[in-house]
Amino acid sequence: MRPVTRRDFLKHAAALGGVAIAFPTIVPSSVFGQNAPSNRIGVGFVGMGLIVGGHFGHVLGRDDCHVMAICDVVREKRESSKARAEESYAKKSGAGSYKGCDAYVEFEQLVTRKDIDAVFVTAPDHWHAPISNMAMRHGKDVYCQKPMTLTVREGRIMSDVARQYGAVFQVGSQQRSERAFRKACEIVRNGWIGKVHTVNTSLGEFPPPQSLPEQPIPEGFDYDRWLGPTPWYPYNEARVKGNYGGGWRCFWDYGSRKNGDWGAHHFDIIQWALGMDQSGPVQFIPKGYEGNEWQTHIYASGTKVHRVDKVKNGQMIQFIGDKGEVLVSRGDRLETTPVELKDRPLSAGDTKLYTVTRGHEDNWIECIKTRKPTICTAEIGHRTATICHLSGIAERLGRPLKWDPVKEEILGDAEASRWLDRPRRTPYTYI
Amino acid sequence: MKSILIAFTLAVAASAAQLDELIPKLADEVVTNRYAAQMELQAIASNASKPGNERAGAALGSALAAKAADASVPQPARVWIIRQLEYMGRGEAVPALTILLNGTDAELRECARRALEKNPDPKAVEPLRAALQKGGDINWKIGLAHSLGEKRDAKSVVLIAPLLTDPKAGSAAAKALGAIASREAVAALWNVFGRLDAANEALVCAGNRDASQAAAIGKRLYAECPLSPVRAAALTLVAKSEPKLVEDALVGHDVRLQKTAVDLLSPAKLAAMLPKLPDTAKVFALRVIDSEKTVLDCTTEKGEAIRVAALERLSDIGGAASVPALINAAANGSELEKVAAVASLSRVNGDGAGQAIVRQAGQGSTATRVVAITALAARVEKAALSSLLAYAGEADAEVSKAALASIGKIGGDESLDGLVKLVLANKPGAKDALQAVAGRSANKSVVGRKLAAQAQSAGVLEVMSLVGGADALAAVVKLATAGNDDAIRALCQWREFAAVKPLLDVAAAPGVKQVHHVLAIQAVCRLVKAGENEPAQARVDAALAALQAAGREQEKKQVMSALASVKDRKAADSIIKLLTDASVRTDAAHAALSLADGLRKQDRGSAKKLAEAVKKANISSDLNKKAEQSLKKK
Repeated sequence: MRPVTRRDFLKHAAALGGVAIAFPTIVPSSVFGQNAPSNRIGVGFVGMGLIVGGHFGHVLGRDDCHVMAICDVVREKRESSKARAEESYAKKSGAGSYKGCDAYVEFEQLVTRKDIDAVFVTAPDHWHAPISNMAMRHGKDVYCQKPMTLTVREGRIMSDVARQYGAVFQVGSQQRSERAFRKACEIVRNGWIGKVHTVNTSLGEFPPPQSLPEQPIPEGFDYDRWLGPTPWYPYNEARVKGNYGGGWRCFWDYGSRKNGDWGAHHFDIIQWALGMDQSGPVQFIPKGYEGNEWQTHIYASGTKVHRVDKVKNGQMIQFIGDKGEVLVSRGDRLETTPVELKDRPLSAGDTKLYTVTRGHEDNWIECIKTRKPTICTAEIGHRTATICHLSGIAERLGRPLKWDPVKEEILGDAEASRWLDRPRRTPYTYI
Repeated sequence: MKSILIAFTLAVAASAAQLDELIPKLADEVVTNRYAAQMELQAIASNASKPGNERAGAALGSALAAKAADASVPQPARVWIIRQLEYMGRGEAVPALTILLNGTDAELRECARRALEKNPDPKAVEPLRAALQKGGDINWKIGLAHSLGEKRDAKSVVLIAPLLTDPKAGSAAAKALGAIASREAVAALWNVFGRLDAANEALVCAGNRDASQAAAIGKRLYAECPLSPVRAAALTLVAKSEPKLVEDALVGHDVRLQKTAVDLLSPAKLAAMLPKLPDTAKVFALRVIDSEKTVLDCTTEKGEAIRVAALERLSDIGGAASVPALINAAANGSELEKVAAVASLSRVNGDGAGQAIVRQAGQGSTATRVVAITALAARVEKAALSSLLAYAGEADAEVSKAALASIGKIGGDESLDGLVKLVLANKPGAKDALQAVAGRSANKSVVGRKLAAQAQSAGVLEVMSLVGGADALAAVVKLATAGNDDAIRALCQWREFAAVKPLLDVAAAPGVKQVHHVLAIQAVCRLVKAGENEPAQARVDAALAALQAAGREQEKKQVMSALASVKDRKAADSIIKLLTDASVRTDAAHAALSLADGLRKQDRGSAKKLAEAVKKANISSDLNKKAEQSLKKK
């Protein structure tokens, strides 16, 4: 039997008496019981590859969510994910078996389902915008993996769609939800290290992209749909492989390489620290140009962000101000000069940044219930992804670019401006 | 003019020559070899597309176009050449791309469509329109309709509109029409409204693109579409033209629309409408209303969620007037209210808020004072430290405890004297506060001297042992030497290696109490084990001295264990020597084998030597067997 979800409950409640009850935090959950149907969020997953594992397990473990359906272009992944969900629910309910997690090849069928409230978009980057936009236009809340988009224009559209359709949107830049990164940003934002003139970050390198010979497409794999809106190439396993060290992430057709990979995390933190979430840099300079040893972007304030080979002390990001510095990494690594800054508490007048006390996904789920903004909204994700993409465009064009973050236009370079979006392969033309 | 033409012709020829060299590489039989040539061509194209390079760009564009249309050029090379035209081709590329668009190679056709879509020349739209008119399979039509939509070609509406009823192309056609957003396009979309899902979003898109139609589209969509997300989007289109609709949405029952309406209305308008809003809308409105009085009034509303939202909002907009309500909620509210109020008290920063909290800390009921005192710490109100010390000395245990906890969080060196006095007065919580403040101090010697002056108290002595420092140690040693039990116990808890010497003195002192002796030996063993940053020789010497002083079997075992924790050859040599001492040889053997395990990776020679020594000592068959096993380990 299909479980009753929050959406079903609302429909029913409205039919009974027009009672407008939607958000458990607004109406105390005790009214209906902690995880009554009114509180349960119907969830769908699109993209069951490498990155989804943690999200999937997390949602399966939550009593206030129910995975209604999954989607992938690889049959094996569909079948194993469906089985995992059904086994998990069978175990949880104490029943011998459970049927009720549907599996799709085409995401359109999942995101238009009426009993699904929220969708994880965990497909490769080139599918983020089409899936997310369709989901939001059908009233779903969306958790989209980073980088949020494949192109700058996609980001502007996604942010507008989220705003207009009232979607609760979270970008998977989970470093924002980690204590050390937040603290580092608060130190910078409150001016404790003075005016920040330089930021260094390291993103690593992928192997170069390749031209690959054709191989037979494996049975059960909808390769055409995997390629989706990107240009057609003959199938080769190396092109589509999910691999943190390479695979499809190496190819410009499906992302912005390391700028879109680690850059989506670290540039995001830098934006946050500098208070630029609604804006961005004004110049992008490829490595080796205009006297810059490193790939660099520059804010209107003069702050320069360098993509260096290695950051001091093996850290991920270094903020250098005229009164001190902050070094921060995953694993709660935070170093400051002066050393006392890392433990200095915020006083009432200091800027206190959005604080997530549980996990990044939990923040999204909480916001679905309260309709508050998430810690990394579509606008924030778009602004960060813009940096990733413009850094990549400057690198590929081999020239510095000037950017107007208000109008979101490349200045004085019409041909470079064409790269702000990519034409889509038919019939996957949706955006 | 003629010279320009000649120069251009020469440039085209030069570009063509460059391309001739690259083309075989772009179509290399070994596919992996093609990549370098692809990147080379891309670099040439990028360079030619630089601002100021227009002439070179046009020359290269012409050369690329000629090669793209040349059937003798291998197909893989043509695909990559067309890609460059997508990036930088202009009017000069349109004729060649038109030929390709009408060719028989499906991949080249598709590449040409995309290149024409991105081509800024006005002429680029005509071949796309003509191709759609000509027709083809449905995927091809979808692509063409999309490209024409991207170009916002109003003339294409008549060609795209018929696709709206095609089950496969309908959505793409709707999106294209929404992108074009001409009146004809919008009319075509209304024709399928209610029958084609994609028409909804396309109409919203048209409204976004054409401000002159936004209001009409939004109003009709809002009135006629039953879907809440679409109605929310429609509402955003009419925000300026139809404020009444937005207000109606706010008081209606659709929560999504309420939220959208809140986003669209001004804080002042929301404040004025607040009394008649449904609960959920009130909560949303309270997140943005900036009138302190209005929000403050809501802290006594019937609905808990509304009260909580109001308390949260005061964090951003509250001043002195909000403080009593926040403190009352934090002291006497529901659990959710308490959480919200406590958080807001830590942040509220409007006029006079800080001073109001300071005042509340000194007056009122115990419960409200505790809240205010706790808030002072959360706000890092260092100016209130002297008051906090005074409150800590009060008879009210709850107030005193809260004040001490707050001092512990934010106090500095200036609080030390006061805290010491409170420790001497045995105030509960004072010792913890003193330890926190002293432990945070950057000037340990000053702290040590301050504490040393009051070292007669067991509480202060305990704090001294945790804080450490040379001055404090000297004061404690002085008292310990005089036999002060509290001082000896404090010395035995010392965390710094410098305490080893006085501890050994205590252990070896003639007539020392047994309990002090045992505690001192244990303390030395603890410091030897923990002293990884101390010189190995010092640790070994300390352990050997402790061994000398140890009387009971158990103590010797402890010392041996401590010695085995020093992963150094010096420790190994010492243990080997002890294998010949009949009184400790068994413990020494166990220590030797333990140390051998610890040393094996960094000093294989010493590890081997230890195991061999145990074997040679031949203490027991069991130890011999373990030594053999140790020798075999890698």
